[in-house]
Amino acid sequence: MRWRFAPSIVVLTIVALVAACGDDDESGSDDASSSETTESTVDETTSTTLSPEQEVLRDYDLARNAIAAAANPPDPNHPELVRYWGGEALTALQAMFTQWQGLNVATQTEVQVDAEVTALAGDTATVRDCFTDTSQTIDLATGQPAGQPDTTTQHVDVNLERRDGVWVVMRQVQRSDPCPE
Amino acid sequence: MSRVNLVARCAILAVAALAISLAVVVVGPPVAAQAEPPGGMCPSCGPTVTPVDAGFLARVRTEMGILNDAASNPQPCTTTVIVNGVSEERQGILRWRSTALGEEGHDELGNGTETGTWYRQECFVEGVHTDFGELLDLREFEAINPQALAQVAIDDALAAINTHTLMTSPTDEGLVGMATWYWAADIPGQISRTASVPGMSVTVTAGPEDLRVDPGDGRSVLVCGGLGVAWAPGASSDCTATYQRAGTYTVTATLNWTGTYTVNGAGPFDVTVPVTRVATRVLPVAEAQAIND
Repeated sequence: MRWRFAPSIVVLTIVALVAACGDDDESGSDDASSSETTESTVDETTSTTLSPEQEVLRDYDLARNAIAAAANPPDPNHPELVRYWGGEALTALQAMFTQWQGLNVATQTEVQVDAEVTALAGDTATVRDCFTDTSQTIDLATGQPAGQPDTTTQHVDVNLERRDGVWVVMRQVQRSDPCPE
Repeated sequence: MSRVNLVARCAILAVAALAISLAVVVVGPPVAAQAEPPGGMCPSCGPTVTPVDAGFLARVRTEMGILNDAASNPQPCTTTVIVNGVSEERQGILRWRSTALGEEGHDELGNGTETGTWYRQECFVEGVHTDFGELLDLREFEAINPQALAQVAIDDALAAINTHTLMTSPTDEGLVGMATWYWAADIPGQISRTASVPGMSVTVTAGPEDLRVDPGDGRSVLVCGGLGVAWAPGASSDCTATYQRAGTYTVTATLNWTGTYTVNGAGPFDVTVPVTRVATRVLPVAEAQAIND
């Protein structure tokens, strides 16, 4: 075995020392920012009554976030995924995440939606969206990013059904026309 | 925190950090996986389906034709092989072989998330080559994937049978103000068919899923929940419409077929894009006559 001196020793040691010896007052500032976040959330949840269309879009947003949550690490039975996705759309997502488990990969995903409700009748709704998915593949064997982040934009019509008070995405169909300018 | 405690904590963590750092240097980083994971993934795109249309199925059939024609009617080719250390010209056959991540040409194959299937065209010499022949071409057959082959298989199976018959009651002429019943007839319960290309064989088992009827008078399409119910005394059905005006209506009945498929024996997997068949009939609707005897 050959011993080598490496700069990483110094770097890691310094990092650990800074982390360990930092002023405890920083913890106090963390607490303060947590309080601010909580107050902001309370304001949002108590100050508005959503229209039916806004409820659809709220749950649609949560469905998009559920994909990101279920993608890292890949979890075909993630509670949020099975809450906001159903039917063939859920089947496809579960198959995809099962495949990822076999490949031992995940993604760090951010998605931006540009959605509008195009139909809403009773317990069914249709959303037209031009979403942009930015994903960084993670090799779970090493925990390291693989390749570069990839950005994909799709123009889709999305069918939702209301089940037990939650709008659930059932089907996502690619539109043939491009996203509007 | 007291000054003494802070110094003690710094010292302990510093020693721990030094030990971890040394361990990283001595042991070294973990050995990288041999196969690179795919990049460029889009989880939000995972559930997206592309509507099936005649153009799509035509593309699938065209690409299947290229691959299967080469397999059933192999063309000769010449390649250089090394036998017992001696370079020789040999005659082989041109063939398409599906490729997978990790095989030769991996870097040229994209990231493994394409919708199609990558094939390598090669000059293969029987008895000399084992797995691979001389690589001549690499290309993605963009329309070839298990779902697409499953849809072709259903389409093939449906082509072999008659389109369903749209039945109505009253049979020949509806009456204003009286419910007209709709249901589908002449439908086999299950159909099975196989579609194959080199390296991929998809067998689908499908059945009719639901009947949707457009009565033709401007109202919404009826979702019949099954195949509808044949009229009979005492029967009930949700698949009915009552015309308000006399006239001649074109009734359109769309039957969705769906099912499961296996890929090279593995599965079953759900067919997520329905294949549809449409039947129409013209239905005259007359004013009901009062009977006054």
